Amino acid sequence: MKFQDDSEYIRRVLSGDVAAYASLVAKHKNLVFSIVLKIVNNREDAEEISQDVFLKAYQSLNTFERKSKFSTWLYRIAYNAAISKTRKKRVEMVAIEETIITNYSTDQIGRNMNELEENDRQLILEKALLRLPKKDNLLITLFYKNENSIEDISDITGLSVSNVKVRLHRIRKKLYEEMNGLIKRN
Amino acid sequence: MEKEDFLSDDLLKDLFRNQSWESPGDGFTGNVMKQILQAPEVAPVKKPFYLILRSSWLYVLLFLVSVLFLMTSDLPFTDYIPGKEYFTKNLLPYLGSLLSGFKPLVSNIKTIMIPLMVILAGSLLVGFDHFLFRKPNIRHQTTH
Repeated sequence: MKFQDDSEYIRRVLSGDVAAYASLVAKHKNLVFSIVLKIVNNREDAEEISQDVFLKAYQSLNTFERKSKFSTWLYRIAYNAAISKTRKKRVEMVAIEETIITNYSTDQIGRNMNELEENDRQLILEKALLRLPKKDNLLITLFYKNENSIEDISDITGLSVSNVKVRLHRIRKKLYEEMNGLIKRN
Repeated sequence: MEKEDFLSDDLLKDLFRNQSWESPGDGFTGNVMKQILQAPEVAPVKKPFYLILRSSWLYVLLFLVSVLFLMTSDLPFTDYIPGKEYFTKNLLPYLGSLLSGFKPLVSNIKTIMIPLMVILAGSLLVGFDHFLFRKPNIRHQTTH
């Protein structure tokens, strides 16, 4: 299905064409659902939260200021909703245990990965992603898969731009570390 | 926005590209629309003016202070501000003691340089902070 630009749907919804919102839902539901699922790790919960996200976005559409893209604004709502669902009192001081990160060559790991079959490469990536903290999994997925900019990710997560850069740098190293471990075990 | 060089990674981009997004159930869009149609009271409306004013109160305040300052000062270039003469001759006397109190403060160029610099520096700082830097949101620092 080919979609129009988000701003056109938004204009129609704000003009009273509620049905136009269905196109926005259809266009963004997979990514919203994936973001929530990565954090709550339960499909039923993720589906329920994702529905709430779209309902909340609809209710707040008049406050969308168009300073950022609609998708970024929507993903921020999704991220906050998922985090609220799983919120605990413990304050995250350090996202990644840096002691785990050891010296290695990313080039070497890349060469080892390239020697594997595509299915095995994907399996190793999936397993390595699952070993990351959920928020880190989401951040690196947004950056490398969805190709969101650092600024977009900052908007979505509420982290500062510099914090996102540092985190992505560390998450990438951690992901390589995990992939390296999985390759060696295979 | 260009990707950061130190984060560019063809291997990861290639690996992630072949991953698919998760999809919710088939009736997802229908369920969302059903919920929306069951809540007609939340139909979108235009943003109320008081909300716009509330989010920009600092700029409004700075603007009012600047206007007040320029209208009551004796700086030469302020003579060219349209309406200043009318303001000074006709309106200022009626504003009573509050505005009259400002007059001696700003009637001497040496005296007004300090508040002028403070206002300018403050405005610049607020502007830079607003447009260049993002404050971290503490709400997102909790984890599981």
